This record gives sequence, structure tokens and C-alpha cells, in this order.
Amino acid sequence: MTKTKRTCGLDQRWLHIYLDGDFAPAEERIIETHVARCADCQRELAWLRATESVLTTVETPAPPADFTARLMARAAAEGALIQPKVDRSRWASIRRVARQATAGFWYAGQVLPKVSVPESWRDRAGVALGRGAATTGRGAWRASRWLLRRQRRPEPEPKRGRFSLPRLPGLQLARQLGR
Amino acid sequence: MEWTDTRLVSECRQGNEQAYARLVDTYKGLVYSVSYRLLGDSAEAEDAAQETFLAAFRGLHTFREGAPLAPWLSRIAHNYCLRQLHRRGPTTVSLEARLADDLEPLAQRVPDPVPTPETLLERSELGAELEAAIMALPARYRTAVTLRYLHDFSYAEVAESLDLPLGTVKTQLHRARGLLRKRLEATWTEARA
Repeated sequence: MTKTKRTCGLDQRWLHIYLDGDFAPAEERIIETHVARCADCQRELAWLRATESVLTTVETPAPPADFTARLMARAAAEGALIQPKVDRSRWASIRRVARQATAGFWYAGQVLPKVSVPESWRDRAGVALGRGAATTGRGAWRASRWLLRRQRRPEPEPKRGRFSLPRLPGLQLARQLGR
Repeated sequence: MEWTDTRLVSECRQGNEQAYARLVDTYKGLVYSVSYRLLGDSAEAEDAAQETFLAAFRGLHTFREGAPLAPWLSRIAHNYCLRQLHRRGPTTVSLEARLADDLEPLAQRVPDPVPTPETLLERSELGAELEAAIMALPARYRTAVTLRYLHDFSYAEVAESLDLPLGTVKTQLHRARGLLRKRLEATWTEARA
């Protein structure tokens, strides 16, 4: 298990969260007050900052110059550039479900009359089928509404102060640091 | 007219070969970089990048309209490379990464002043050491580090690329940053000795 507690009592992970700017302002101040007095944490934070800066300067390896030409030749030879025709209209999925349902009912109509089972069983099977169809229909309708709503909704912005009071109470933090 | 991701995808779907080539040109650096950092070999990385683009071309009709291409392509490359690593069999345990853990108390006993990033960069051996340190990280951290620091992805984009919860990605990056920091300090202390 990774050691997370520092000798001064501060959790190592909190320095990372602080560095990412993920603390709420109140906790950020507590960490800053601690770091201002703790040489060990100052040093750790400085090293972490230096590491981050140096990391962004690591060179990214580049592919060979003829990479695109060779890839395109291979893709053309393997037929990867031919896209299947896909209907993207709103009704396409409804039509697909309707097609599958029709096929299902046709199959049931072909097979079920040929199966010899007692009348009462048939009644029960009929009721179960009816309920199943109703539930599936309701589910499909809800799923389609949810998908439509999700497509219209903009992506939420990542929140600042993710690790705020309920997750890391300032009081608990202050107590842990012996203040 | 600018080649946005949406336009690229739409033109590719219509069979425009120029759009395919442009898509490759735009993202080959990212895909190759992710593959190289995971596989550690340029020939294998090139193969992986090619397979990634071919898989992307074949799956383009399933791509969600309006979504960014970079996380999707990174995810395909990451998954392909993980499969390749799995095929290679069990990986050797990085002793260096373990050593870095043990170096902490030594560094604490001899507190040298922390150098500035500029001073660190002046030491040419540190660049190579950092490269080696990235390669010594566990595979699941390597892609996260590559995307975050080398390609400037946000945490949310890294999470989308790796198909992991945001919190998991943050933890992985924090651990990776901690390991790299220890390695960097150890190298710096050695270089000064």
C-alpha cells in the first residue's frame, strides 16, 4: 500500500489536490497556511511543481514521414475507406425496433399455434407476452426520450472545488494538522 | 473552410479520401505517441498506430456525431496497445520504480535547495532519465501521463480517453506524478554529487 501520510501529518494526496486547484477556497487557505510553516511540504510542493513543468517539455516521438501515405495505401487495399450506409434520422431507430418487433410477432404467430399446450398455459403465455411487449415498449419509449434529452443537453463544465466540505471538512483537516 | 472534427467525420463518411488523409495527418502524432509510450518500440508503435487508424476508419459509422476525435482515437490506441502488451506476457517488474520509493528518506535527510525547472532542463541527462522514468511507470499510468502532460489533455478528456471515472484518473496521475518526482529528485541529487 502506498504511504500517503507525511511526517508533518498532512496527507500526501492533499498536496496533489491542492496543486490541481481542486480544493474549495476554505481548504485551499488551510493548506496554504500549513505549507507556509512547513519546510518539508514547501519542498515537496516545489518538487512536484518542477516535475510538472519538466514533464511538459518531454519530446513527443513523431511517426515516420511517409506514415500517412503508407497507411492510406493499406486502408484502400483493405477496403477500410468504404463506409456502410447508415440511416441517422430520428426515425431510423424506431423503424428498426418496429421491424424487429414485426419479425418477432410473425415468428411467434408461426410457432406458437403449432405447439400443443393446455389452454390455460396458452392464456398465461398470452398474458405474459402482452405484459412483456408493453414493458419493452415503455422502456424503449423512455430510453429514446432520455437519449434525445441527453443529446440536446450541453456537456457540464468540470466543477472547481470538487473535494469541498462534505468530502474533506476543513475542521477535520485543521485537527489533523494539530491546529 | 476549417477542418473541424465534425467536418472531418462527415466528409470521411461520404468517402472523401482527402478527409481520411487529413484525419491521419491531424492525429498521427497523438496516436503514435500513445502507442510508443505504451509499447516502447518505434516499429511496434507504428504498427499499433496503423491498426488504430484502420479500426477507427472501420468504426467511423458508429462514432457519435459532434464528439471530439482525440479521446476516441486515444482510447482505440490505448486498448490496442494493452492487448499487445497482454500478448507479450507478464511484464518485468520495474526495480527502478521501486527504488524510487526507497529514495525518499535519503532525499529528506539531505535537503538540497529545490532547483527551478529551467535549471533542471539544463542538465541533459535529466531528459533521458525522465523518459526512462515514464517508461518505467505501470502501463495504465503511462497513457494518462502522455495524454495529460505531453498532449495537454484535461483530466476530463483523459478520463474519457481511458474510459475511466474522473476520480480514478486523478488518483493515477497523482501517483504517477509522485513517482516521477522521486525519480527526478534522485537523479538530480546524483548528478550534483
